[in-house]
Amino acid sequence: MTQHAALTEALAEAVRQVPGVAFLKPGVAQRLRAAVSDTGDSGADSKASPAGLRISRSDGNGPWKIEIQIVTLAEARALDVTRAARRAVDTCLEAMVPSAAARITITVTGIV
Amino acid sequence: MTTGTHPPAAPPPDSDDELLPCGRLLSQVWAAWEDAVTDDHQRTCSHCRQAIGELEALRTSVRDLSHGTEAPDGFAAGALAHRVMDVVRLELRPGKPLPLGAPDDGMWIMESVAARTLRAAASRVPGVQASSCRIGYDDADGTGRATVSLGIQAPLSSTDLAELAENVRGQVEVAADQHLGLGIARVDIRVTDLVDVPGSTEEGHER
Amino acid sequence: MAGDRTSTAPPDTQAGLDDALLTVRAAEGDEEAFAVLVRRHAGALVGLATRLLGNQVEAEDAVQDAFISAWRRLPEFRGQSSFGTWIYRIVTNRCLNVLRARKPQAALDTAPEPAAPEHTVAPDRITEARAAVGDMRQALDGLSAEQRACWVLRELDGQSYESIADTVGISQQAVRARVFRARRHLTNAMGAWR
Repeated sequence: MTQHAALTEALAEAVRQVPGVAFLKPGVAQRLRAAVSDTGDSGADSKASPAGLRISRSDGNGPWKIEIQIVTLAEARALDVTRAARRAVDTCLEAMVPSAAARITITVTGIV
Repeated sequence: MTTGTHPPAAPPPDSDDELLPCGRLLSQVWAAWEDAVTDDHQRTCSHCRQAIGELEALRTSVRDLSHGTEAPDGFAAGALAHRVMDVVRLELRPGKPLPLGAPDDGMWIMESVAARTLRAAASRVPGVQASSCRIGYDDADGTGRATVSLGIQAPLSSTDLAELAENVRGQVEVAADQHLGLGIARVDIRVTDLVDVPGSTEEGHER
Repeated sequence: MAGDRTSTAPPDTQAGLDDALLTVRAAEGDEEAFAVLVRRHAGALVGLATRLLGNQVEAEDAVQDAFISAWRRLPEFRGQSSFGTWIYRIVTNRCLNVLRARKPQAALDTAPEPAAPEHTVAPDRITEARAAVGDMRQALDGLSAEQRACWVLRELDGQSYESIADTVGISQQAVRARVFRARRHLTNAMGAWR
């Protein structure tokens, strides 16, 4: 597993664990799959990064650019959940890529 | 403009029309009947009356095809709605991102998501429903505090609209703070409609 | 659904709202408001489309496409008419396109007169009515797309000529001419004329 993929997976898991996060925003591919629900998941790409989380890096040593889209629970305060998600991301990054700088955006795209 | 009731001598070529033996055009006899402007001739002329009889017979025989505004038997609105919404959810219009906290913090909420919460807050004032809810923010001072422009339906029985608007503003500000954490600079409220609210929301169909 | 206390407006809480309110919300991206409109209008529209197309499966497809098109066009919808009138037009035009695609226009104006129905004596009234409906459907298939649409809107939906002209996008005079031709064709087909 590449560092990129491992980081994506770890970050997604960290954000999902944050209280008040319902789920990461489902991507178009996932929603399409749900729309034509008779076709089962093709195991190949179901592991691919969720659309709600995107990591990029302009060059090998530049800062990571991390964009996360979350759907929060109505009983939680959106700002508090987002802050907690932000802290979870920071913690995860420190553990996995301690020296790297990162620009992080977290967007609430739904409340359920 | 509709043409006069007096026919030309012969039907225009290629019109499918027919000149009745009494000298009237079939199209005009039918139109007069439909528009309820039959004259003495039509009421007594056997040719005209026969022509109208045929149209009435047609109307009778098609009644079985017509179901008014009912759905056909065996139609499930829910299933169709599901199929429509599956596509709609692939083409959402979430609006613009609004800063949660300061813009530099990198935390955002989509306008349509925040609007849903604020509309719901407005409806906590009895008899009020929010229609339009646009949210912008002023980045000039770096605080990114939001400005809300809200359209509401107010109950017809309201005696003091200014007070009502103040109550709505209060609910919106509380919800923005407690449910979202969205800093609000200003809430503009427009009363777009005064509606007769019979206690609760049970209207079901348009006008 | 979890946590619908205050913050979100799940479908049920919007179900009692009027069309104008829901339309504004939907135009601003509230898809749940749109879902309420879909559920509210779907039945009547499928009825309309079934009358226009004579086939419920195609009718449901047309209505589904019309709603999706409406969702895409909602941001430009400025409430010139009610949502009901607007979507009625979209469905009618969608059906017109289906009818036009069904048969090439050229063949229609020269369509042969259909044979008169055979069942002059029917054993009982129900059979007779059913047969008459069958004949009528067959006769309707002999009409051009525009003739059929104008006639259905006029005769089965009770629309005014003015409103049909608006919906179909042709002059009132043209609507009258098409309704006339349709009636002519149908009275002939019903074997009632002469």
